[in-house]
Amino acid sequence: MDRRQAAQVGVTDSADGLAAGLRRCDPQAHTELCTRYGRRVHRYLAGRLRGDADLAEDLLVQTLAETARNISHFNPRRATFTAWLFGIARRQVQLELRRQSRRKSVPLSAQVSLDAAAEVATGDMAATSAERMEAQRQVALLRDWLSSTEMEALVLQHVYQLSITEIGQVMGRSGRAIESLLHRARTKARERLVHDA
Amino acid sequence: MMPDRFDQKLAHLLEASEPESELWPGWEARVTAAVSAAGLVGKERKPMRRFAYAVAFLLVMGLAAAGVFTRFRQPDPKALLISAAEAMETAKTVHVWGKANVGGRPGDPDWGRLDAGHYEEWISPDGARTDKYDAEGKLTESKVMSAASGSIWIYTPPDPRLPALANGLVMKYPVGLAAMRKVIARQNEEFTQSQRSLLMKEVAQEKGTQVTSRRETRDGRAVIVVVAYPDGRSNEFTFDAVAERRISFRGYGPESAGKPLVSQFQVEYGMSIPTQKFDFTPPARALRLTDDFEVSDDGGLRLEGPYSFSDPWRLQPSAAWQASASSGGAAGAAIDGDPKTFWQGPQTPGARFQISFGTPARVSKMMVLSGSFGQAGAGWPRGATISYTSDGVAWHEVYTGPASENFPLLYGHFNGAKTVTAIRITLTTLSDAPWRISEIELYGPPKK
Repeated sequence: MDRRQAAQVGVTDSADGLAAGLRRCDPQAHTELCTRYGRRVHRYLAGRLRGDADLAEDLLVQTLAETARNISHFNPRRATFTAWLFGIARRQVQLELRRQSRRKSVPLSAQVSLDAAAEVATGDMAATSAERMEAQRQVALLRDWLSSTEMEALVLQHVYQLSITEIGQVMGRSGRAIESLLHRARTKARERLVHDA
Repeated sequence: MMPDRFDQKLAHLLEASEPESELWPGWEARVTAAVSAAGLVGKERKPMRRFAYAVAFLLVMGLAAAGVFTRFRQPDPKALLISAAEAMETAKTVHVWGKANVGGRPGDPDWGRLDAGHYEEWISPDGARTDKYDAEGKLTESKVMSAASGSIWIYTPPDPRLPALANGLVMKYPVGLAAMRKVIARQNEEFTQSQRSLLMKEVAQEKGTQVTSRRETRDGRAVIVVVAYPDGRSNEFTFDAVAERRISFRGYGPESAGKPLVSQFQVEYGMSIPTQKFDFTPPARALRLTDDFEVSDDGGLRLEGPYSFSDPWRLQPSAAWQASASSGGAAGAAIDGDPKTFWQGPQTPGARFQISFGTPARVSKMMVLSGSFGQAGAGWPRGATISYTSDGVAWHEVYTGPASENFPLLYGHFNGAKTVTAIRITLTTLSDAPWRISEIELYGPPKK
């Protein structure tokens, strides 16, 4: 894909300077990477890990470190920086979930410390507004109704404001495939939410 | 395409249900440090091409096959750079045998300690420490992990050949709290499992003994069955089945043919409920916990004090050993192999306790026990040094510092087995409390 074609499908990003800084191993670029994308990527990771903020923080470190380490592989003609970064985060989540499914289960007593329990309690309290709980209930219904891929595409579009091309780059699919996936997801979601209402 | 009302509603629902980003304070510095470190590694690798990698690989393999590197082998600090995942893989392997003590509720000052053949594990409520020794018993690497700050520090002994190792500290590596918690939970779990299997093994080795167990509901009374008294009797002991409890065993020597002797069993419930103690008379040779035994989340099963399943390192007290003290009572009680008897003297700076060996002994480490574990005010030294001599002239210090009320022992590691003619403990701090030594345990060279 040449530069003109890339421009046509919207493969431009304001992160060119950041990528160049990371290539030079500029400490300011490292700081900017964290401040600019840290919270956004952490939120995405926590959402995919059922709200486990601690684990999301670990994966955030790995994601951003991976980004800095492999910046030489980043090609702005093939993906925007944001899409490339979210793609790395997505792979980290998949690896972690695979690791968890392989791991031998540890008794609950050995897993949960009192500190962790206290943290969970505090986290829950922050999310107890009625509106938020209602939203969570409805999205839980959608999760049962939609496939995980459809849900993921919807979240990337509506919460993280990625374009269709970028979603395709994150999920490793063509823009057309994502467009049809989103159309299907939207139709199913409309049916479900209208039915629920 | 303009979003319609449904799209707006859907976006609102998804936005509201996605968790907020809750990062720990100071995350930016921590994450930036890790990113910078990774960026440097990437930069070093950047100019390399696949072809160059392949050529370099073949070249290195060829040189290695020719044995070129064996002459120049040096510790490489980069080899110690570990990722959080690798740290977990390393830390989850905890081999435990010999003397063991682990536990501590969150916030407790006392740390558990595990002695193993070639390295030691220290597990605290919020972190872990691993000291590794080579076959000669010399310290080769020390790894400290702290869940409180989510970091791993790796130290090695100073090595003058490499500037990076001149002061011993190689690096501090940040890891996430979740990873650290998992390491500790897994260590506790594995430790507990290994101790349980040791107990079961002891029971299985008692031939001709009837072993009974009984399952009870959790709101009833839990049962511990103690079997195999030396005279053939068996007995049952019960304790309250509440979730918050800690169980400890106290064993007193002398050991009989490598078998443990357990003379007391203790269940602690917390401040408001008195501790239950069960004394075994005579000491039991084996014991078994019933199936409904619950492990608490701080590691649960705790083996305490001078209790030992088998300890091939331990030097048995000899009649040729002479104990002397600058003041106080009969010093021989501290080296008679029985922690129930003790020597006691005033706690003044300069007060000494010395053991002279008739013939030189090989010693790699020692423990000085003060009173019994868990007994407050049992005469633990407020400040002391341990030193040894090989020629009677030059004294080498191996430990300096205090013991503590909760962990009343001094621990001297000789950094490899040394030929020793005498060992001396000297107090450095004044206290009104007496100084008591219930037993001095000496250990020989590591046995494989």
